[in-house]
Amino acid sequence: MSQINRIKGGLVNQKKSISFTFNGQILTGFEGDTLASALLANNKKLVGRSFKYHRPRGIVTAGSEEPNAIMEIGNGAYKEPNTKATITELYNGLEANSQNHRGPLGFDLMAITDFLSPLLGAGFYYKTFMWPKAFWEKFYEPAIRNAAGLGTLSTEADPDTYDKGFRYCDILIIGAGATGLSAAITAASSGAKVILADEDFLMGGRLNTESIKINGVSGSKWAKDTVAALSAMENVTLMSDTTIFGVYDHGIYGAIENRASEAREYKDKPRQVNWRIYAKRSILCAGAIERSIAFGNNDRPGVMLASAVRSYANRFAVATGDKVSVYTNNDDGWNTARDLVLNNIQVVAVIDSRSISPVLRVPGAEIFMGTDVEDTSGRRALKSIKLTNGKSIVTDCLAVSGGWNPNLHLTCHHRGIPKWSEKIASFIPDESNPPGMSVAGRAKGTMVLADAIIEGHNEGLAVASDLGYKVEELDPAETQTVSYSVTANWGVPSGKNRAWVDLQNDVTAKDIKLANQEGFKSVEHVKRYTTLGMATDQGKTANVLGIGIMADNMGQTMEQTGTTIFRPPYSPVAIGAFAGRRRGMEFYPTRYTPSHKWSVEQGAIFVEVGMWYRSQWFPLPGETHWRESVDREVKQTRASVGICDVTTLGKIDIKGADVSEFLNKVYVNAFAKVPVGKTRYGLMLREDGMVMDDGTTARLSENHFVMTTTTANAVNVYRHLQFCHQCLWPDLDVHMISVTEQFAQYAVAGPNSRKLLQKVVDSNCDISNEAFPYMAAGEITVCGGIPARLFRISFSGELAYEIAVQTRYGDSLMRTLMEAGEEFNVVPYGTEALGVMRIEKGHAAGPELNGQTSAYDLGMGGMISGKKDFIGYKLGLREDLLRDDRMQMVGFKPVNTQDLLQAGSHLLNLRDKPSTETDQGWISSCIYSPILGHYIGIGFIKSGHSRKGEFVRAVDLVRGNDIEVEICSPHFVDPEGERLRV
Amino acid sequence: MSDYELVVESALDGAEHEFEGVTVSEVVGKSLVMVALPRSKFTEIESSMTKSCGLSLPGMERSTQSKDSSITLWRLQKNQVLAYFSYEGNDAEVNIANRLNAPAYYTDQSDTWAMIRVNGPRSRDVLERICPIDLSKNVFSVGNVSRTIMEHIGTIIYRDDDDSYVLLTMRSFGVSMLHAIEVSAKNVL
Repeated sequence: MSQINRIKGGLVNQKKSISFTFNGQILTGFEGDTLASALLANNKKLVGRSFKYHRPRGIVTAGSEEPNAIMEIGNGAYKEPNTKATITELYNGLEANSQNHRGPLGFDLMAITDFLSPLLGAGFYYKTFMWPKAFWEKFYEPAIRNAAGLGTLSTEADPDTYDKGFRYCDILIIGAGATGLSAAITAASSGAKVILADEDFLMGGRLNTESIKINGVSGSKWAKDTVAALSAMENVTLMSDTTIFGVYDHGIYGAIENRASEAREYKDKPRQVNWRIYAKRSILCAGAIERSIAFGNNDRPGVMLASAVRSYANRFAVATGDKVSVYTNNDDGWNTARDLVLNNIQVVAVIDSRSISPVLRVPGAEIFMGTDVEDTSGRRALKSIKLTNGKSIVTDCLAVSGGWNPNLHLTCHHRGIPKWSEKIASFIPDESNPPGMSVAGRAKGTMVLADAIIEGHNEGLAVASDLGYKVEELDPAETQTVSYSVTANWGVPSGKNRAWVDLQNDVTAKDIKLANQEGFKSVEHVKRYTTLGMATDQGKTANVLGIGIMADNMGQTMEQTGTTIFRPPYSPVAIGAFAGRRRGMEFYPTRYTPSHKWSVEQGAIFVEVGMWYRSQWFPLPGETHWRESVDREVKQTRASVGICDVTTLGKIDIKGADVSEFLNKVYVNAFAKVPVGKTRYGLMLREDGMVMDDGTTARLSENHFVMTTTTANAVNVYRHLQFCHQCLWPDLDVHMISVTEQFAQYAVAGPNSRKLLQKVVDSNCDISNEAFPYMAAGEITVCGGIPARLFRISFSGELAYEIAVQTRYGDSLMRTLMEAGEEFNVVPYGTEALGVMRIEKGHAAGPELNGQTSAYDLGMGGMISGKKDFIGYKLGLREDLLRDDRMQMVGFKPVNTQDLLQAGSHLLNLRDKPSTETDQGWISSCIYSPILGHYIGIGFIKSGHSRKGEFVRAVDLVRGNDIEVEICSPHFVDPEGERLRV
Repeated sequence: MSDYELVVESALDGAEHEFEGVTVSEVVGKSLVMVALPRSKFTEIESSMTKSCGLSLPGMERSTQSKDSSITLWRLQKNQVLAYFSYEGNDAEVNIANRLNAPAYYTDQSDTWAMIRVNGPRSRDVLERICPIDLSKNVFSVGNVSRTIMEHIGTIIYRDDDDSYVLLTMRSFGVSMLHAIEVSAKNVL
């Protein structure tokens, strides 16, 4: 029979059925149910197996503190383990499976560990499995890990999508119970921007689970009306099903919004959204969490927290038992008995450990004052309990209340340390809350609802007022004052029976005693030794109970014992939610060059250079190896003309009356007298004298220069220039801005490059060798008046130009150049051919400008001007940087031209064995030169400049290569530079 | 005269996408020029611009408009403003220099940026998924402009109407930014 435990009433929609499965069995629940309430409605008391001993376990709580009812939800790649059934909103088609058992849930083969429990006490794995030593990693540890554990992963990529977002508010109110709603109303009525967040999908907190009245209506009705009023206010953002999981610096709060129901219905919608909330102030109204009492066999399915039993009856219309008993040490436990009776659920007994008069009259129930529960029976479901007075009571649900712990987790995220309150026998927040955070209501230790409402009301008002908002005079909501009194009860002597403290980690009172006996005195050490307070619930129901037992064991106060530190996240957050949408191609953005579309049409192979996608080579039909394409591109360029998109190189426009003086200070070589219409190669150092970047800078007019940088250093150089200007020489009239993206720029290289360009450059612009010689620069027009910039510079060593047009014309110019170049057999070339030609020419690039090379090391010492000061000048004169035996850049070629030379090879003298001591240097860049017909490389070797003609070995132990090479000039092709100037 | 003709192509091919409550479209027909302000000439430049176009220098992260509303100045750093104006020619630098008639340094940035407008009553809901700054109506009001990072991309955001925002990212990032906005719209709407 379906939902045999369902009763009348509640806040679920009993007219709307929802179908779901549990361990393959089809069940139904109602709209508004959690998975846990639906399971209980269907009389599913056994819902999982415990972590270590595989004990049968049932639902204990009705919130995120749940230690037992953790499930695998979904199947296949969608499966998510360790999901708390108590906060999972039921939806059609939900598929839940219990976890951590071998065989069926009711007959777990691993339950044998329960019978071996005397051998498996706290820290047993630290003491056993010592022999043989080698077995630990290979056998013992895998076996233990296999036997113990939580859920299992699908091992497939998570197909769900996640997103993130940013929200700002004046006041973040955490928790939408009576206190939070009261605070929100007063804060919001002032006009302050308020975000109200609650981890439950139904706002109202415990008001939805209690039978009390506020302002003459039921608590849930008052909550619903208040939420509706807040929802109508433009300055309020309501975030239900949202957990504030962390408090970070500068008023930043991490929040996970759960949207699983929507995501299940629409597969493309995010399952969770990870919000970063910026709040000027926050009010923590997170309420309190009930704790248990340690007594023998207190873990049987059917032993629940009293407030949860009440929640299931009042909110979810579920009777958690036919004959319920209540065991408490505080007044609140009696409310459970009262509410069950009001719901026509039989209460067979109320047991109060305090020797006081009964708090309430509970019709039909036996009352036991000054009495405890010492044992229970029933393997898969509770059957009876035994009291300390010797009496046994037949009961199928025991509602236990050991008192309430203020939910102060978030107050400790900036290292706040809770303090002990004897009055409520629990820890409360101290004054060292995170900056901007205040606490109200039960989270602060104000356990009486009427007082908590007033506190929330006043705090909302005070915080809004602090922020400068004019607050309205509103009356706080009214409710009957119900006192709360508690006497701490950490446990009952249980003899041979185990009294469970942490249900999720199978930690007993004896385990804590054992840890204390073995010398673990710090609460942090006890946690690590026993696993108390670990895993998905982080001991929300167990910690204070464990600390109480520890304090008793050690004869010290609760304050002296203290708590472990609470850290984010408050409750588990899926890794996917932190990754958000940044997966696959969206891990980071992609930058496309102006010729990208054209390159795709040509079938180019692309390479990621930083975030840029650049054409690496352009294979032709029939070419089966990248070398074929690259060799062709190089040969064709050197023979006639080639075109390469060099837009990615940094371009910085610099204007002002003092630019030449500025450049003189940032480059090692002189720039003060660069004539208009000329380009000059420049080398830039860091303060420490090491080379930072190189490039060319052209003077387009008296006060206008354009600098190029390497692709990799475009941002760094710009930042460096800004620093130099803003901090070092702010008085100079210098204004710069990146124009990297303003211009599409193409290198046109090869002996026919001028002829090709002459077809597109307007005839009024003379680019003959005489009018536009090597290193000339100027603003021209192309294709009938389109403005362009032309630079006669060469990275390939050929007669070459770089032509730039506004990016809007970039694609068109590439197509035009290719069309115009047909008669010259023009070829597009990619970054590989670019690299081949630069190594053939001996230009230093990224592998050589590695941050450890000086201008002298690169053979550019001669460029350094001795007539001026510049960045890096003084530190560049350090003795060590001028030594002749430094690693200096030279060229290398194999003695046997058939040999393969590889970048990364280390250089050794001919007869030396490879070792750190004999290491002479390394090959930094290496290629096969289609022009020379063999491999060549450039690299660094001790005293390289004076060793040209010597023979050494290039040894690559990783790839097993050891060849003889000759040290030579790095300029392999046209060393005199004649081709550049024709 | 060359035999060839170059064809203009916008950063995002004039992209336009409709969602429920939001339209995402490329902004075309606009130019952007950086106007650098030499320290010693702030007053002179401002009075020249006021005289020529009725423009004043905006405060930080604010904008001002010319008398005829055809030119908007954005202030994102002390020593420069960005002039955002309706103009499609390839000589925007000269055009604005002539119109402002102020002794500043001008550098065309029109082709540097991809410009995307997010417009509609749900625009803020879409943008809050990627924009780390506070876009609340009363905080980032009409005329506000700011520079920030969205999805790892340096972005300028300008609110030009009640529910309308213009986002500028470096042109090469344009496709990625457009995609990021579309993903937000699909996730939210």
